[in-house]
Amino acid sequence: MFSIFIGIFPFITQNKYYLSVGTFLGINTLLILGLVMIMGFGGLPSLGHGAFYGFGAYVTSILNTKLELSPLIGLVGALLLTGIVALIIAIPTVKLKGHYLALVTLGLSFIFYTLGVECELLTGGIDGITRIQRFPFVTTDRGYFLIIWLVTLFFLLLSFHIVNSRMGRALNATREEEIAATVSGINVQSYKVQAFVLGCVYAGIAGWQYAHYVTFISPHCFTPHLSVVLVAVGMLGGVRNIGGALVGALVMTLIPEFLRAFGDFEILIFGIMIVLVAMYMPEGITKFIIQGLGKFIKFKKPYRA
Amino acid sequence: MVEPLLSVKEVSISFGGIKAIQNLSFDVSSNKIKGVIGPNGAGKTTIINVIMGRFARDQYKGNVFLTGSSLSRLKSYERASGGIAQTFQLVKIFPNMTAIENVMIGAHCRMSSNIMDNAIRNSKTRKEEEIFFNEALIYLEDIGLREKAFFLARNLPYGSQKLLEIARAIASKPKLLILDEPAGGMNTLEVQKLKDLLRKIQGKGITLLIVEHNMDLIMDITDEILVMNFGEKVTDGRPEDIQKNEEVIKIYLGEETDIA
Amino acid sequence: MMFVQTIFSGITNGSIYALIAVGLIIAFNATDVINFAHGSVIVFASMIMVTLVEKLGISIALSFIISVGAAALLGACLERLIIRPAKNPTLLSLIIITLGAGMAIEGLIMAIWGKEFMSLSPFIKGKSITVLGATIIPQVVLIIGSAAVIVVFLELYYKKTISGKAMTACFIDKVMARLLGIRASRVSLFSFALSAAVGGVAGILITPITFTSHNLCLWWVLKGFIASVIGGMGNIYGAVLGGFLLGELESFSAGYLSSAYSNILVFLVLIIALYLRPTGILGSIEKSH
Repeated sequence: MFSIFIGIFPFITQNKYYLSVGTFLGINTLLILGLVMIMGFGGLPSLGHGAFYGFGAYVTSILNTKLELSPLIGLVGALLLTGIVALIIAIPTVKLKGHYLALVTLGLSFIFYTLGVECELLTGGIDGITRIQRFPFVTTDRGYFLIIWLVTLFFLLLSFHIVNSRMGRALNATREEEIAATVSGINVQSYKVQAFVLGCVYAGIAGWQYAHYVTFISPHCFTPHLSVVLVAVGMLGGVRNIGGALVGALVMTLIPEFLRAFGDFEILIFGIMIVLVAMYMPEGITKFIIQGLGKFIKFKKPYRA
Repeated sequence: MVEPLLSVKEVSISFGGIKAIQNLSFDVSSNKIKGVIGPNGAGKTTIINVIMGRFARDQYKGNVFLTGSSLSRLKSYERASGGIAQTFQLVKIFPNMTAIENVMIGAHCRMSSNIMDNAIRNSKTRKEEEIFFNEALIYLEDIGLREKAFFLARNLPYGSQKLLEIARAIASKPKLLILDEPAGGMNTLEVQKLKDLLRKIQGKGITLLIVEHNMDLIMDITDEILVMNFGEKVTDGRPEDIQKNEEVIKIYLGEETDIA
Repeated sequence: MMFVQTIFSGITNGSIYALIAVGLIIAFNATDVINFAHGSVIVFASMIMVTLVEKLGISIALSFIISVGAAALLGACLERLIIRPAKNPTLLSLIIITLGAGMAIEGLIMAIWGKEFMSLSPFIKGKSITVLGATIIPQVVLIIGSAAVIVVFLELYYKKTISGKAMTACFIDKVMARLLGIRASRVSLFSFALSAAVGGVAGILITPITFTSHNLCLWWVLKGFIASVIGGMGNIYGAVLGGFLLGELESFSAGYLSSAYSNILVFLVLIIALYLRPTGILGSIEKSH
């Protein structure tokens, strides 16, 4: 099982550009993993993932630049804030039909952007925050690559465990047959809330990673548009697949290049792509990739045939 | 007098003017098999829903007691983990999960690892998973699906799915198991196996409440039968008495008939 | 006085939201789908209108008909091309599908009309009306009037005409409706077209007041949804009521606090409403699952 993870350790490259792409890949993987937990396992549509990403980034940046606190404290802050906001949003909405959560989270992403722009004293307004510290003991690009991936892999592992255990089963059951899940004693709402909060916290941590890597952030990094793209890419990658997060991240990091070729028609093409994938491959493309690559991939869950 | 396991007291519920259940009271004694029969629309599935807590408190009158304590404060999932399990008329297994996972879900309320435990896969989680995995295998063995443990539930034949649902229900080690038309869609051979299974379940100390149309099954294995019609209790008694009861005969066969 | 003026600008925005919400609800009622592309359809219609009127000089009346027709056509296409053929649509898939469609339409808008704001001059020229010391421009009266007409029309349609009753039946129980001979697919198609048409009307009427541009696409859906939640989901009257309340809420918080923070306040109100009374003021006719 662990073989895949090891397969992702290409220490090899020294090239700055590749390292930077690779590092962003790490951040995006964690980010999309969060969405996989929320949508794929929780079955909840979240259109505010970008906002939680932003919350994490901003909390740590503010704590770091205004209060001179270490990034580690920033991490705790990011965790807490995203967790609490996610909790507040999730509790009343998971009882209701899915599109409530979708729209509330969409609203949240708009709000976040507004907050980011307006609360100038705190957030630096449109120009954002600059001169965020890097991690204290990490100096090289290589080092950053490793640290970020270390964090991401840690959470990949956590998610993998969750999915293959009591909680994972409960989430799957809830998604497939809610009534039957309830009859088996599963508190459906509680699990949905847990999945949501978990996923949002992942996004917050990814935001923390981003802030301390790029060292400057602004509201433009965390627009509602991003949230929609994340959902699209998450679904493309494979909504119920831990590995799908990686695929999704790959798509997300590489697709802008691909789309740029279309010039003005960028968004149109992207939109059409989303529709097609959602219609005909709602499970995402990872399944196809797995079948194609056959032997290498061992996403074996203990109880599956 | 030993207290009944389940006690339904004066339950009434209406849906938009239609009285689905009117002033229904009955008991189920511990470790007995009680049948519920009645024409379609008699309210059989509705009373199950009331017992399982699918209605808000202000939607119905009356009360339901399990081992003497009222269930009215308990939410649906709490009643389930509180000792009542159910299978459905239209089978509700988890189609994209394997047979063994389906059974393990049944045991969900008996497991205790939470998200933190699961995330780091501590020894608590690992031990639990192993214990319940093996237990689930045994349940599958009991219903004859051991070899298909890793099959996706949706790929199993319908009869097997029904049995799987029963195994899932048993896995929660309930005090009371409610079955809504378990023999639906089964042939005679399957019904025979079902009877044996149900008797085996009773042998494990579980009380059964079975809603059924299949008279062969009902008359053969139940200790007591409740007859319902138009949301009301018609009569409640032993199978032999029910068969001779004039009102019951009238309901099923109409007025002017001779029962030879 | 400021107070009355605030109320009036609330009515202005409120009428816009009401129209948008009504359009959204029409499709929702018949198909259980919140059409995330609704906002894009609205913007699309307004863009066409602007092009026809300002760039091509076609009369307002004719342009109106063409634009609304285009919107309806777009709505029908959406239904036929992407909603119906979707394999086994889970709620999540439908949301993503309509989101994607909305994005595609937005992309189309960007490709054709670029990223600038576009505007129209008001349909009714003339001086602003002054009431109680506050002013209101005639365009707003037009919007309110249209909203009223549309609501009355819908009310009659649903209750009196056969196709309208068919739509209602489909909403209540699709299987039953089919058994009764109602072609659910036709109803679905028609309701999307109708929904888009109403959206188109909304988009066109609003443009003289607020500019139109591609990044309003999602914004409108959000507003329509919030209005429906406040007023009562699935309820035409709820949509209208919610729209006006939302407008007033925004207006007052913008007037007395600040326009940026008004969005935040509205969001908070939404969350609180969900905690306290998720069915909205007039009650929801949503099937609870």
